[in-house]
Amino acid sequence: MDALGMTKNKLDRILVVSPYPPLRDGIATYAAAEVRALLVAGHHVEVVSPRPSAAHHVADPGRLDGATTILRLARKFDRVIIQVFPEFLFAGASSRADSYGALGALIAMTRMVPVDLRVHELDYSSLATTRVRQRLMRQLLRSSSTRSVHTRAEQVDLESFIGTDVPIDVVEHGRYFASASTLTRAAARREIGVDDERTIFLSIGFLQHHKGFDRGIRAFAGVQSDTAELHVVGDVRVDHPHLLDHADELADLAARVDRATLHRGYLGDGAFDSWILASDVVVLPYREIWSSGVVERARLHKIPIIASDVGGLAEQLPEGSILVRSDEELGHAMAGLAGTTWKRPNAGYEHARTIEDVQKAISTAGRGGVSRPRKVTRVASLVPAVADSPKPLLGPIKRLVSKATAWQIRPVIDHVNGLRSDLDALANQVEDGSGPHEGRP
Amino acid sequence: MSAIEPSKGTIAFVPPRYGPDVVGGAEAVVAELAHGFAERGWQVEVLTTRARDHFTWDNHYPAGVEQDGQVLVRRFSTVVSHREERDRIAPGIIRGDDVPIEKQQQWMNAGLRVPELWHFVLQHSANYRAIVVAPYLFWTSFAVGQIDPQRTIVMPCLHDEPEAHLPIFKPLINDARGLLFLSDPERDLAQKIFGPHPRSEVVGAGVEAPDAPDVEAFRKMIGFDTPFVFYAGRREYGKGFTDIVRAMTIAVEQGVDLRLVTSGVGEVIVPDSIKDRVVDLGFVSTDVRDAAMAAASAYVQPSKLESFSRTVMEAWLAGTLVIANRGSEVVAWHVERSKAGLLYDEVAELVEALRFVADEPQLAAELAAPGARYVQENYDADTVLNRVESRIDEWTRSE
Repeated sequence: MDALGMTKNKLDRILVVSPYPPLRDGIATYAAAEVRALLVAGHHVEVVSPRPSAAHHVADPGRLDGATTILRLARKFDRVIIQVFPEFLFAGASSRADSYGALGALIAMTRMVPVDLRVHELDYSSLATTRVRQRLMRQLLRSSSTRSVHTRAEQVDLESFIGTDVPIDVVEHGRYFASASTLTRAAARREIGVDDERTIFLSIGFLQHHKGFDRGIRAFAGVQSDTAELHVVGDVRVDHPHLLDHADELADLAARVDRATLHRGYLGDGAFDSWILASDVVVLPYREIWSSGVVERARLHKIPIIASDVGGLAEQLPEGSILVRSDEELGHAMAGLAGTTWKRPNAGYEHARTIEDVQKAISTAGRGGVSRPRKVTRVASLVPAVADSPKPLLGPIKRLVSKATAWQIRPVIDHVNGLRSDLDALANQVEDGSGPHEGRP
Repeated sequence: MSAIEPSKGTIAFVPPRYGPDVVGGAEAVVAELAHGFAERGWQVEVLTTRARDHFTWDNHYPAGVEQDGQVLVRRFSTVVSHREERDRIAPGIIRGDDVPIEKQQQWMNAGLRVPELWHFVLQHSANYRAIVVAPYLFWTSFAVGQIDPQRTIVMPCLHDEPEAHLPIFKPLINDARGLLFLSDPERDLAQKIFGPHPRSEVVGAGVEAPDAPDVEAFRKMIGFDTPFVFYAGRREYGKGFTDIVRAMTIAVEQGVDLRLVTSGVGEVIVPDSIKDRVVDLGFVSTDVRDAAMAAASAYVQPSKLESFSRTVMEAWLAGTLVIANRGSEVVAWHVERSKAGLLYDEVAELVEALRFVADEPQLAAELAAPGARYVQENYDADTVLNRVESRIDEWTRSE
């Protein structure tokens, strides 16, 4: 076997199943880097992606029709490489049956042609949603020719799921990565507009709660330095309200911490690498992760890393990196690299005289240092469920049940909606300051 | 013909279409540059599709490698799919709605794709000193331009249209090694949308003065010698062609004695009342187009979506007055700088402009006179090529 895992001196026809550029996504970038390496080595490569992209074929491996298309295509290839992660294999299915059928087709493919599975961020507890899915995934993972993960921790987890009798390779995450920037550090700083004299801490990537960028900002608030800066760079992966709320919270938090800045925006590979090049320290305050592409980009440019001790990060980090187990350790590590000390951000207790003072100080500190009204969460109106089903018989039965129970359900819905409306009115008064105040006539 | 100087390296131009019978401003600019660079000793390749028509993207030209003078052309097959997705998302984009990124991605990847071209560049990008993509809106530029951004020069050919404001284009523009603009207003627009870029230059587009056009032969060909206005290009709504038809209809109803001659692609649909006053030449050779420009009383540029407008320059070089839509900042900028054209905001003003050239053809010709000097001073092909070559050389020199 050569360094790419292919038969030495033999040029294979390889089918790669993956999300793919120009979609901006870590797995898509990883897959394209591997495809480039395979092409340069002389192999014939074609790519299947679930949505139209630069791939040659479009088929969703999470759906039965897509998986059977891939099965048909696979006959013409010597080897199939599949990027395995939950969103990719399960998100597209229209029903459980569709998902099981798709997994069945992929298992059938492993009996027809050698299949290499590249396993990314697979949460085995999520597979426990149904026994059938669990069994099928286990079978798929066991029946493939090879399966690889990026860290020993992932290897251990996968072993606990499929057993130790089939080999699991650990492949370096950054194996195929190349720099997307040819700038020097000074040029990258100029391009980004960062002062050459500053110590730059960088947290970069999609803005998601599990990335813990908020922890980084809070810890940075205690770094006793006028010349250190923390830059959080990235955007939400999709415009989901949940993610947008988190991005807004990060923006609020960064705005209240001196020398911390959130640069929210859609980021290309070049800008991504320029930020890493321009930084002095890359900070990964992750709450959960299996392995990180950011670590590999930082390693590529020899930038020191501070990371939390989660998932497989400990073994993925290059030598000299700092691993932290708490926010306090994170703060001390940042301060150490900035050549200064760390002090827990002051909650303001020293001036407290009453229980109210202490309560206010606690609340203020808890929200990052500045008191502000909590965001009001609106409750959506309730509407009766649609009594219908595409399945024969089920539709009429649902409609019958709906009619029979309407006299009980409808008043409850009306009552809840009435309460919701009153709450909204009250929330509006609070938000615009028109609500009743003490001492006001 | 000059010998290739290997030390200069190989430069790739990536237009969505390329060929002698392809109609399109950006495509013409790219072809001109490709041949200009080859003339100056660069090894030049054009990486493009097999398509001639930008509506169907049908594979018209054969796949593979061909030689166009000193330029090596590699053609790759187009794949067109999921058009209904594009059609479903496009209205929201055009309305300026806040379309989520994943929908923008879907929109961009539905319709035309060229996977073989993308993989060719993925595999071979390191062999090119520079990869020049144009214009920004096509999948070829969007997808290929992000493979190796440090070698990529984008010639956006940007218009102020809703698509230009989509965040998905930011990595293409902001990460590119350099940006080449065709006019000051285009550069200003790019700065407004994407922010300042460390390496950008307004280079314009080179326009060659035509050899003496054979106006007499052209008059014979069309079969009349009364005044006419000319329009060359894509005859489609988006390019403002329907404005000319509406203005002509009204002008004729009001007794203006004028005809419309048009060449290019797209179906020419006109009301019965002006059918006998409209001549559709279809796709014509450069010689015929040059003669039509010279014979016309005025050239009409009704498009708001211009990043340079080569045909306006050709009209001025032929000594012909230009009547242009003020809605195009770029063309209005040219007209105001050259003082060799008339601008209109509405169809009613275009009608009046048509009446003017019908009534005063001699004065119209006199007013057009400064146009040729404007083009020669600003867009001489050699001067433009100097600008482009020096910028690409500077931006892609090994550090």
